[in-house]
Amino acid sequence: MSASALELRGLSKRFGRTLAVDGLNLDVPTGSFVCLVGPSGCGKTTALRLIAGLESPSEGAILSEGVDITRRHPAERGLGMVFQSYALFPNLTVGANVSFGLPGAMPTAQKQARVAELLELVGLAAFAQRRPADLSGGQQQRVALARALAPGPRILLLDEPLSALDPHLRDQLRAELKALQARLGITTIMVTHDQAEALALADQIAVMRGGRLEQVGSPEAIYGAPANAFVASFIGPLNQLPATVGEAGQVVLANGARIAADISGLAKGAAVIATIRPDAVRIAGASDAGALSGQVIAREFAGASVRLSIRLGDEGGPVLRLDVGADHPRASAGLGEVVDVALPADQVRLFAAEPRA
Amino acid sequence: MTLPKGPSAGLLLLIFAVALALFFGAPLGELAWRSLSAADGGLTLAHYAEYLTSPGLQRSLVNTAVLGAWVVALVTPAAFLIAYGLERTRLPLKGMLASLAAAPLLVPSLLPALALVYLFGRQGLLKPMLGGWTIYGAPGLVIADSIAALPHAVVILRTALSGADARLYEQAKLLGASGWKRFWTITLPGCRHGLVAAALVVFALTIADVGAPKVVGGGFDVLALDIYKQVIGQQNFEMGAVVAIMLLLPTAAAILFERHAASRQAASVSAQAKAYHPEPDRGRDLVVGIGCVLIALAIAAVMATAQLAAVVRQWPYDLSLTGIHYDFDRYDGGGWSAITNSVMLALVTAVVGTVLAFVGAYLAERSQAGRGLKRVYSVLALGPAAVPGLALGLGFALFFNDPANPLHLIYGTVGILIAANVVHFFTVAHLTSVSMLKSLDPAFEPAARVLGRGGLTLFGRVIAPLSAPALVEIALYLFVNAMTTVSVVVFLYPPEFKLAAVAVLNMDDAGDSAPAAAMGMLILYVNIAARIVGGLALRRLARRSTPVETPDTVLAGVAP
Ligand SMILES: Nc1ncnc2c1ncn2[C@@H]1O[C@H](COP(=O)(O)OP(=O)(O)O)[C@@H](O)[C@H]1O
Ligand SMILES: [Mg+2]
Repeated sequence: MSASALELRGLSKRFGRTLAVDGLNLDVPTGSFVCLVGPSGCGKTTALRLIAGLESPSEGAILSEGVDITRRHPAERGLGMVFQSYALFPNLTVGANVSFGLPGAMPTAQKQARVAELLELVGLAAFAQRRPADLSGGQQQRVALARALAPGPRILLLDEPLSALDPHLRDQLRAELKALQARLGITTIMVTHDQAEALALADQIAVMRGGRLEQVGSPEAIYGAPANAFVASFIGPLNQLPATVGEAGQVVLANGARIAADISGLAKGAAVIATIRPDAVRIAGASDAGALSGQVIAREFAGASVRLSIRLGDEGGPVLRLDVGADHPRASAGLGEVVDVALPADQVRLFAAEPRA
Repeated sequence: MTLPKGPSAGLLLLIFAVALALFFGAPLGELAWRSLSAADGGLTLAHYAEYLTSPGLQRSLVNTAVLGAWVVALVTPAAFLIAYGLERTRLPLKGMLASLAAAPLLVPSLLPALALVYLFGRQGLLKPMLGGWTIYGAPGLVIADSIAALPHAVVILRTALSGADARLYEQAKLLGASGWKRFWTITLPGCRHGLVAAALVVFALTIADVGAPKVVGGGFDVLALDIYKQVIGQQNFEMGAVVAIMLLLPTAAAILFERHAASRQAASVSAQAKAYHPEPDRGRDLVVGIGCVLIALAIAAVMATAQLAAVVRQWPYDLSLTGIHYDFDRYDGGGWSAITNSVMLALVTAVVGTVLAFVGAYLAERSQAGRGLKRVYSVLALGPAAVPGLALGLGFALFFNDPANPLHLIYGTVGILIAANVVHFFTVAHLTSVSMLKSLDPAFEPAARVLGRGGLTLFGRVIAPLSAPALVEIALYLFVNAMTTVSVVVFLYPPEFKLAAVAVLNMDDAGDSAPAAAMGMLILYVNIAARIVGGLALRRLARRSTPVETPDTVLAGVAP
């Protein structure tokens, strides 16, 4: 049983009065791809900088393969980092950028070979003599990756490496990044605020809020079994309906409608939030008992599906969003039409109502 | 190899801060101390009391304020007109207008005064035009100082006007606002900070100038001249110190207020602003153009007069050409060596000042030195701009002349001139460095650290090359100012190391105004040559096509 590539133990960082990172505990298995996700300002970058040694923690420890590296110089931690801005040196050629981190003592020929190898790896073999400004955003990102990998790190840190790119380019580079990581088998920690990116790339997702970890798990677990309403809503679109626990496996919505849910362990009358993802809401068939009906108040076409927003009950009643396959007969429901929907009980998740700030 | 890590950057910055304290704080402290010290070594306000009850000196106080106010009233609108012409119109020959408006920067401040005397003085060519009036005294001073201060105000107002957000104008036009209304509701309010800054800087520059009062002051005594007279004439250092402090207070207040306003305005500039391009407007261009041409002609006439007077046998009676006034060794100013001395001093000042200011700014902005130390250094570096050259020069003289001071050994050497010049012009060099460094990606240092490369490697291979254009600008600024300054060196230059700008003052003082004008114009030509060389260097750097832009230079900042 080998030790983890990286282990964070109670890691905290305080900037004056802000607690940017608050008691992080995280295990990063060797060779895995871990994504730190969370809304802007939740401390992701700070956590990454702590790991890199660019900030020193106020509390806690960082272990690499069982060895405490909390106080080590950044260069002696065996990691490479890609910055959000890429931080390519604009006056140096692509080749010189990539070789920047190679040891000064390395013979020139060996350096050149290493640079060529890395540029080959990221598909930029022909660009060694160009300057960063002559490259596209995607190419710059790959140069930054090559530069970070050049000294042969064991761990790769990526701070929002795709956020500076055009959306259509982002998907493509996402796939390339994943393929490269898999090929190299390098332990990777990536920071992103984009949950779709995290779901697509990560073996393990760590969701952060306000400096704390809310949940760590596989993408499937985070999406399918979120620990709380914050994680559930952050990781994908979510209906959140205030409700109270009723009887016989039901909760009561604000408009009096009842929906079936697993209420085990909850006291009757407790305030909860009933959640369900729009893609889990179904158009009710004839056989569905306890269907809800509502009036369409908004309709968004999204290619393969249509997202309908329906108001349950009267004016002021709760609004439910649902995704209907574009080929479903009810997908063409217009504004004002009434739609009957079913909320499968196993897809409804109840969370304790959080006190609203 | 990871040099320098945290501690060494901190140590280096500490050395910088201590050096600034020694070469800026201590001389000022000495100045203040001497203004308060009694003959028996105790503290006393007697010098101040003596000063405030002396009617002559009281008059200087009033005169100085009046002079400052007049120059501000004259220069601010004139500079605004030129800046507007350059930034907001489609006038032709903008390059020439800009050069002429900047020309007074390249000469000692007494040269325009000298030219005024040639035009309107006792033997002035145009004296009959004045009727019974005389140029000596307030009128001449106001005009001469206005010409000297104009370029500084133009730089500030150009910056203010060039930052316009085209979106505001487009919106106003869509709402049907006329050009005139857009001017009053968008343009003027948009550059009110610039106008205030220009007025404050002009005031500070004017009251600190000693050159023009010396030449055309007549009986209109001002504080700066009083300091000069007390120190050079009467060797009364205590009284000189008192007057220097009296001069320092309003100057410092004006400059510190200006800096405060500037930093507040910098924060308010929108990142999404869209560049403004003036549209064709004949009427606007005609009106602004006429004003600009008149001002430019006045400057050109002043320069031409100085040059003409330098090459004719005896202005205005014998206008035959001669080179006799260039035989500087015949006059009591320092001879040709004054020019070579000045060039040498300016070169060393430029190199030393650029390196120190840039490295200091780098350490204070981007190193891992402690935050408190960084802040202390940044505040210290802002100080010199707030201190008039005469006050700094006198502080230097008092502080380093003390034999008990271990640094006494630089007294009476070229070293003290270099130090005084570097300190005097340090703030602008520092601020230009800071704005350059701020424009570079803050992730460079972390990236280099993770890659295991020390600060020195990054500095040498990336930071300095990327900053090259700003470094050239700073060096040029230092060179030109070191060539033209009188105030900061006039109490310090060793007898065997005469300086050109001081020679202009001394030769004029001795009645040799033609050689004084000749040398003043030589300074101009040396500075023009320096600007051309600097311009070529900048163009070469631009051709190397580094994608990083030079930041808006803050060369508008001033060291009065
Ligand atoms: N150097 C710093 N000094 C002070 N506060 C900081 C510093 N770096 C980050 N913070 C604060 O810490 C919090 C987390 O920031 P950051 O880690 O950059 O968040 P994220 O990357 O998730 O957007 C923010 O409130 C931010 O303002
Ligand atoms: Mg971030």
